[in-house]
Amino acid sequence: MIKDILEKQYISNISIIKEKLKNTYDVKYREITTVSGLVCAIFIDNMVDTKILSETVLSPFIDAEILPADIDHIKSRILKTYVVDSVENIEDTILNILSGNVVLFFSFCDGILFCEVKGIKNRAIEQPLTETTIKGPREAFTEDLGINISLIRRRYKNSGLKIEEFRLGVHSQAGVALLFVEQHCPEKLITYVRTKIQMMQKRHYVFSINNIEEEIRCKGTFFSTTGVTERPDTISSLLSEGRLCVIINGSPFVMVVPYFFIDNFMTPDDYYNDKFTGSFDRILRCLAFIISIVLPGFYLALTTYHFKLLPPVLAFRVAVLRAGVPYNTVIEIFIMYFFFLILREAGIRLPTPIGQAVSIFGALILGDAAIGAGLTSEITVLIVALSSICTFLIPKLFNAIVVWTSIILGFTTFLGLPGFYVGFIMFISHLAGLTTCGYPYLYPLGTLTTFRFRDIFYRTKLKDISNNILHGDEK
Amino acid sequence: MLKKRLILLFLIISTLLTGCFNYRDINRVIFSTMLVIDVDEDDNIVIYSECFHSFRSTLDNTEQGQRLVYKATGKTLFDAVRELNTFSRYKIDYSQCKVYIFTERAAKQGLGDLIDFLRRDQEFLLRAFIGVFLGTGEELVKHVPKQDDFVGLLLEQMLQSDFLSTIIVNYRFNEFLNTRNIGKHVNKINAMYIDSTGPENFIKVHGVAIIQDDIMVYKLDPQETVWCNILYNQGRLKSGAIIVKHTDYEDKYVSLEIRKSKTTTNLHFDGRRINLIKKINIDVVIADVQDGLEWSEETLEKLEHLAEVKIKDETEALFGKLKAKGVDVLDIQHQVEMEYPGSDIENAIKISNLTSDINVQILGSSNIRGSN
Repeated sequence: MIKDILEKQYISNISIIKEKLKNTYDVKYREITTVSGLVCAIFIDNMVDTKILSETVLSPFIDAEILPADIDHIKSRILKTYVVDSVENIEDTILNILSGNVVLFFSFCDGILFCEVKGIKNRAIEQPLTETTIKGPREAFTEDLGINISLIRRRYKNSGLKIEEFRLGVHSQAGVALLFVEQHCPEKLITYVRTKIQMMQKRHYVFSINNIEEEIRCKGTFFSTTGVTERPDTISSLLSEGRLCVIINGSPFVMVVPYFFIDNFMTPDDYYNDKFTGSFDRILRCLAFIISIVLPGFYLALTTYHFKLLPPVLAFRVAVLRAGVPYNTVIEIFIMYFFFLILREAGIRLPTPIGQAVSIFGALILGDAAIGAGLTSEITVLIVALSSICTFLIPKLFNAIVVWTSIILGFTTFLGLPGFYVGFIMFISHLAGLTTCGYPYLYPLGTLTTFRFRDIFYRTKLKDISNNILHGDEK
Repeated sequence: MLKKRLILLFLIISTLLTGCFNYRDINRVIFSTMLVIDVDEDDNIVIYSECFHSFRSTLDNTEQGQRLVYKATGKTLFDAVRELNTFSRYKIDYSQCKVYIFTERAAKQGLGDLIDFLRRDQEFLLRAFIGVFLGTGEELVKHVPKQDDFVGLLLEQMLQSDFLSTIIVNYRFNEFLNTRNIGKHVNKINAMYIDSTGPENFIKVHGVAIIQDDIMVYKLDPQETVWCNILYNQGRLKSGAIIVKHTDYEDKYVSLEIRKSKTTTNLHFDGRRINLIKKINIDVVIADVQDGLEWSEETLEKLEHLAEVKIKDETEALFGKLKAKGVDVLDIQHQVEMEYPGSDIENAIKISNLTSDINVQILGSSNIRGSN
C-alpha cells in the first residue's frame, strides 16, 4: 500500500519537473533500477561532472545489495558525494537542478535529495587586466563566486571574516556574497548595504556588479562613490580597513564600499614599491588630476581674457600659432576634445593591439592633419593632449574629469578667470557634497577628522600604516 | 535650495567682476609693446605705439608676426589712443605694453597731463617701466634694434637687469605715481638715447632724469647716477664697479666689483639744521688690477681705504650739487615729514648736511685675506 503511494508520488514528481523544464534539451533524466525500486537522477548536462556523478551517485545505488528505505540512511550510507541534502519542495528542486546540482527521486522512500557534483568549466585565475602591478601578485578574480571567496580567504585567515549569501533576481537568482570583517566593519555600514541588497531581491534580473553599484552609489554625479577591483590582495587589504565588499557570481569585479575620493589616486604598486617611489607616483597622479581639470579652462581664460598674465614672448608666440585658425579658442578646444574622445573610444573598443595602434597613429595623424587644415593650433593640441594624457593616470575619474572640465570651460568662456573660479568652486562644492554609504566622499580631506594614518598624498612606512590603520576606529 | 542660491550669487558676482573684460581671441588683437609719448610744437600729444601683429600670410601660407608702428595725435592722451585704433585691423591691446617712454621735450614740458589716462584705464599696466628718451619719438621708433625685434621688449629687459643696477633706477609706473605726491614730489626716471658713436647704433641707458612736480628739472650723468644710487640704495645694488688708484703706481688703477651694498639712513633735525647720516656698507671683490698687486693685509686695507675715500668724496660732491639746486633726490623732505611731523620745512635738502660713514669690505678667500 505504502509502496504504491510512493511510486505514484515518484511518477507525479518527475512529471511535474518534466512539465516545468520542458523544451530544455540539456536537462537529463537518468533512471536506474535498484534492488528496492527506481531512482531517477535529474541534472543539466555540462553543469555536472559526469565522472563524479557515476562514481559517487549512480554506482552506489546499482551496486548496493540492500538499500535502506529511509532517506537519512541513504544520505549517510549510500551516497559518496561531499554535499548531500534534502529538498523540501518542487521550487527548490528546480533551483538546484538549474544551479548545476543532481536531484534524486526515489520510488521506494519518501523525500528528494540533491547532490553537489558541479562540473562547470571555469576560467583559470589569470592576471588582472585593469590593475597591473610591477611587483605585486598576479592573481585576479574570476567569474566564479566560490573561487573569488577562496582567493580572499587565502589572504585573510581570520575567523572575523563573515560572508553573507543572497540570491538576487527572481529569474536570474544570481548568487551574491557580502563580505566584511566583523570586528572592524561598522554595524551601520553592514545594515545599509544589506538592506540595499535585500531590496533588490524582488527584481526580475540581476546579472552584474553594476546592478548593485547603481543601487548603492551616490546619484546625480559622475564620480563613482563605490569602488570595484579585480585584485584579491586589494580586497583583503580593504577588508582589514573595515570596509565591506560585495561579490556577485558571474563578475570578475568585486565592489567595495565606502569608496573615498582619495582612493582613486591609490594603486597597488604604491605599496609594493618603496615608499619614495610610491609617494612620488601618488603625488604625480594628484597633479595629473589637477592639470586635467584646470589646464584647459586656465588656458582659455589666459588666451581670451587675461593677456596681461602671459609673458610677452609667450603671448606673441600663441598669437602667431593661432593666426590661421578661423574658430574661437573655445570651439577649437571642444573640437580637439571631441577628436580625443573618439580616438579613446576607438582604442577601447578595438582589440588591444589594434586599439593601441589606432590611438597612437590616430593621435599623431589627426593632430597633424587638424593643424594643417587650420582647424586648430599646435598650442591647443598640446593643451588638450596634456590634459587628456593626465586623465590616463587616474582612469577611474575619466568621466568626471571630462564633464567637469567642460563645465569649467563653459563658465570660463563667458566670464574669464572669475568664471573659471566659479566653475572650480562648484566642482569642489559638488565633491564636498557627495557621500559614500553615509560617509563624506572627501574623507579625510575637507572634513574635521584627524588624519589617523599617513597614507593620503604620500605613503609612509608600511609598518606605520598597518599598525595605525584602524587606530581609534575599532568597534 | 541653498546650493542654487549660492550658485546664483556666484554668477552675479562674477558678472560684476568681469567689468570691462570681453572675450577676445589672442590672435585677434594687436599687442602694443611700447608707448612713446611726445608733444609737438602746438602742444598736441603725439603718441607712437610699437605693436606686434600676428597674421596668416596668404602668399606663402604661413603664420607670421610682424612689427608695426602707429602714430597718432590728439589733444589728450585718450584722444590720441583712440585715434591709433583707426589705423589698426584689430583693437590695439596694451596689456603687453611693458614700457612707457616720454620724450625729453614732453618731460620738460610736464608729465602731469600725460599720465592720467595711463593710470585710469585698466588695460594699461601699472607695473610697466617708464623712461625719458633724449631725442624725438620719431627717432626712437624708427630705430630697429638688432638685439630684438621690438624696442619695447629690449628696454623692458634692460631696465630690470641686475648687471646695470648701479647706473639705472628700477623705476616702474606705479612707483612714479606714488612718489610724485610725497616729499618734494621728486622722481628719478631712467634716461636713454641712441648711441651712434660705435659701428652699430644701440639704445643706451644714459643717466637719470630728475622730475620735480612732473617736470624734468635736471639730469644726472651715468657716473652721478652711481653715487646717487649708492647714497639712496635700498638694497637694490647687486653689481657695479668702483675704480681706485693703484696702491703702488700713480698711473695705474684697480677695479673693484660691487657684490652687495646696503645703505641705512638716519636723520636728526635740531630745529634749524638737518643732519643726514648715511651708513654705507659695500662688499666688493678685486676685479681688475693693472700691473699686479702686492697681496697683503696692508694692501687690501689700503685699497679699502682708497675706495671709501673716493665714495665719500664723490657722494658729498653730488650731494652738494643737488643741495645747491634744491632738488631733493634723496627724499629727505619725506623722511623729515615722517620723523618730525610738526616741522614746517620748505625744502629739507637746503638745510641738510651729509655725514657719511662708509665701510668697504674686500671679499676673497680666507687664504688670501689672512696669509701674510
